[in-house]
Amino acid sequence: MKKLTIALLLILTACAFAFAENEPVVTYDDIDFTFSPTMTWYDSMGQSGLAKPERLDSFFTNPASIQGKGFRLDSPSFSFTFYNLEKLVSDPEAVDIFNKLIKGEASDQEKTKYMVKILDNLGSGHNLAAKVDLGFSARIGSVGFGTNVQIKLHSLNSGTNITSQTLIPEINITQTIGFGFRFINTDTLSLSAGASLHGVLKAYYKGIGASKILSLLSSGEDITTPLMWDTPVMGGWALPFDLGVTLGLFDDTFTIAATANNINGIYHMKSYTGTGYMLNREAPESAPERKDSVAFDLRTPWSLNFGVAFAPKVGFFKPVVTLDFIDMFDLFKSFGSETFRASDLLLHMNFGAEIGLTDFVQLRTGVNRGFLSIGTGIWLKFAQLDVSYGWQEFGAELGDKPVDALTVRFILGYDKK
Amino acid sequence: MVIMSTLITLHGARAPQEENVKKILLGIFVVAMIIGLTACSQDLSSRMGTNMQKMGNNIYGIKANMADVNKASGAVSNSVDSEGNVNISKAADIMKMLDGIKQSKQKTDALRESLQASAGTTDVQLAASVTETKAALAAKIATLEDGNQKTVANVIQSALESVESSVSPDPTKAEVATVAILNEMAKIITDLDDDSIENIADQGQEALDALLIVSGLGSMDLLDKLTLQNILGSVGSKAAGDDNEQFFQHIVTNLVKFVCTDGKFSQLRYNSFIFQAKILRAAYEMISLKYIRNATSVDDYDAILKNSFSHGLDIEDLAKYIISWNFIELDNIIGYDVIGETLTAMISPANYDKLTNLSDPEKSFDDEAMQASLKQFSNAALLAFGLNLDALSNFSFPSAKEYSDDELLEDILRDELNKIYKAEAIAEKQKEDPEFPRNDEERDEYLEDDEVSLQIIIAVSEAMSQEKNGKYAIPFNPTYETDTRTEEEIAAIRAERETLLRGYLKAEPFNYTDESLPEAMQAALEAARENDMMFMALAITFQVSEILDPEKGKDKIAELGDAIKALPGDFMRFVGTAVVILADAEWDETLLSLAKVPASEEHKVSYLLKASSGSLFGFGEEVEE
Repeated sequence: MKKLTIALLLILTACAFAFAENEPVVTYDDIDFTFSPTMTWYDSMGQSGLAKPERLDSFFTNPASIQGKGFRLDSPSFSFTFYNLEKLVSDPEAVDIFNKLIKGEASDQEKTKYMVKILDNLGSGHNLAAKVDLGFSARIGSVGFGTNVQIKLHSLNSGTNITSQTLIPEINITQTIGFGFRFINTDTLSLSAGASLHGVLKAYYKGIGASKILSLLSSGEDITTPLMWDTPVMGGWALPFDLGVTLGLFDDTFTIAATANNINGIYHMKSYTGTGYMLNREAPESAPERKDSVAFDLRTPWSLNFGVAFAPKVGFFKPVVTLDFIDMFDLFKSFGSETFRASDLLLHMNFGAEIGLTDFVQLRTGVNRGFLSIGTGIWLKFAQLDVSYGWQEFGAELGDKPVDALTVRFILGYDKK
Repeated sequence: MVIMSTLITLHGARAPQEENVKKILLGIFVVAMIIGLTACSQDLSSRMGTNMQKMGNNIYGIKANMADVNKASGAVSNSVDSEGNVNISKAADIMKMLDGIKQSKQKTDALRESLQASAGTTDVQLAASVTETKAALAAKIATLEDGNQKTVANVIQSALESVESSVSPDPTKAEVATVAILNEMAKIITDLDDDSIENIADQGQEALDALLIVSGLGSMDLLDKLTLQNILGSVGSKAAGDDNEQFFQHIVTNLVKFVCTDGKFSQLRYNSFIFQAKILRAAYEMISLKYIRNATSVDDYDAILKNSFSHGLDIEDLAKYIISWNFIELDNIIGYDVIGETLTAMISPANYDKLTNLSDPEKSFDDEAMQASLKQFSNAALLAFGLNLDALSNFSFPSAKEYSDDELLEDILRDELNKIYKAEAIAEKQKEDPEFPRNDEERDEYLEDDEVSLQIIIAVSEAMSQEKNGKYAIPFNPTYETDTRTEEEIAAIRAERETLLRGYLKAEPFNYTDESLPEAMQAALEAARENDMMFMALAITFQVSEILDPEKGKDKIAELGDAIKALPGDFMRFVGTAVVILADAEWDETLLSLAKVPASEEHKVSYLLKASSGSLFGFGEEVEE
């Protein structure tokens, strides 16, 4: 009898699972969810510089650079990236409203109109509206630690107008530990290798209609409640890691690097009815009923990259020239296929240059898949301000959807160049 | 680690930090200043925008991979054989290929160029390619019982029948693609059953997207230009803003531009316009079919609203839908020969520029004959459209009956009668003084004279009274009832109405003493009742801007929202549902922003949208008590 009861209970439990309502899994094939913090120097150098990574950005680009004497600290670094700026600057009405916003003279309608313009500029397919990064990182000798928080606002539009526009907030919290060792260290030759492991907590929301957001904003309603309870969210974790090796010649004037990034970029995710449920908060009465989570894996691609840098020590000019070959594994795979074009090699080649104007001002420029980028860095003793502006390809193929981005990054810390 | 970092930063670096923080703040200030200065100067921001745009050009000059563009264009080319015969089903493959292309500017440009080329067939051969589809659809129509499905099918059938007259003698690939889309829509309706209706919204959406892209890319760009911004472009102008009649004329002339080639009215452009309007209307109705068939409660309507968003429909869709619908019905009732004759007379290369520049106050339109002609056309349209609105108000908003009966129609009449009797008074004066009036001031002074103005008021009142007691007392029931008339009766009414409307259109401008006028009004009303139409959003705009002030408009909106939710079993027009509920309450500003409407004319357009949305409901369908 006892066995029968247990068997019945098991069957009932199984049936209960079978009939429980699940929270549907939401995935977006058009969005690459690989985590990468905002790296202003890297961006303004045409997304190149693996062989000479800037300061603690090496945690995510080339961990072989996590080596050396002493202590370095970025605490905190804060950056904001605004996308699709060119369309706003080219629109006289948008500029006019912007001026009014600065002066505090914009009416509610104009504010809404400005929002609508921003959303309208996102266009069809995938785009990014904005990105905010907050980071803390430090290196002691050959060991580095870092924490990054990043909020991205993706947009995805299957149609051609604003009401089919959906916004998808993505949040990443990352803890990094990295190691770098210099095996050979002579005046003419050096060899370093490193690895960094990232514990990434990721959450992204089910797309929220632009119309709904506009409605919430214009009505002045609290936007956090719908995000907290009414919008399904996918949350999970991954342990991706990066590997890097750097060969230095002539006192590191000339460096060559190879990196493998985002290895094991598999996120173990679950679907949740709302963020509140994901965080195990007590739901208000008005919240929708909790549905059972569904587990799924979200795969992000790894990449094999090579870089070369030339950095002669010439006074305060300190010029740096970088050349990277990115995502070469993909290129290797396409060799010999029908779709391969020799010109594709150019699209995997990024390069950049930096020169110092004074002790504390650097100018940078670069080319990323054929798109120009520019930037500047203002170095102070314990802080740095970086600005970069450039274009990136957001479409499936070159020319499909170039998007421009302006990033301003502020770093306070001991990470002296 | 975070705490440690912060402590180190604060403890060890306080003194130098203070100095450096100042520098950092200075740096931030400089960046902000640059951005601010750029923003403040339109010229600077414009130059900056140009340079930023240049940076977006790929320096390698590598073109986007045009394989999918070539494939899409090839789908159309391959549908035409060496003899020029068209396999229209093959051409429809382009619908599946447009999704990736529309996201790329380079690709859309390339496709544009490609689709403008000749398809290598003829109008006759293109029309022949849909013969089988036409026959199959005709057979299906005979079996359809659902009124909504039948309406869609009839519109598609009508478009199929007009292929030959609506495409150019040497059709472009864009024209072939458009016919292919129509052909696909016809096949979807032909195969429609209880199962397939589940997919019809997506299929309609696909057809709509494809149609808008193809019509926008190729030379058949009429529908692409049918945007609120284009149509209401004159709304903000000074010339239009103060005079509603002129405002209406501006809208008419804007639309006239769509049907002209080289400054002349073009029958082909007109036919093409109506043809595309039919396909567009059918596509919108296909999207709505799935959702409206069982809508009986407020919850259902909310679901419709939700679904309309999921299909990405917006205010521009509503505008396209309404305008398409109205022009189709206008074409049905008045007919091409009268419309063509009127527009041909109205438009010529000599006055085309004037007509198309009416929104520019600097360019006055001083051709009196043309003004008269334009007024004639406008008033004919107004007559038909206006009465439709009146009827519509009664059908849709029972609570607004009093307003519609006693104010709206009276206001139209009073206004027009005022003009007539003022004209008569001036004519009387001219018998004494043939040179009168020498200028506007003299005319106004005369009309403002106590005795003259009193005579006009009395004359208008008497006329109004006669109208009210006689022909004006239009005996319609505010609740729409099932049409029990036979087809012969309807045909007879239609013929009579057409005759009257044609007669009116040919009549002298403002000839309101014409005996046929009240009958024409009656006919227009009947037309409205029979044809399930809400003729003209533009006329609604006109009426709203003339008759309704914004305050009254607000009340009307509230009624409208209630009325929509209260109508059981009504034919809930899909797009309108979304818009009207959006338009209700706090959404006004956002809606107007979406419509890109000048702030000075908000109330007009706001009401246009709302009234138009309302006009999508309860008209021509059975309303259960």
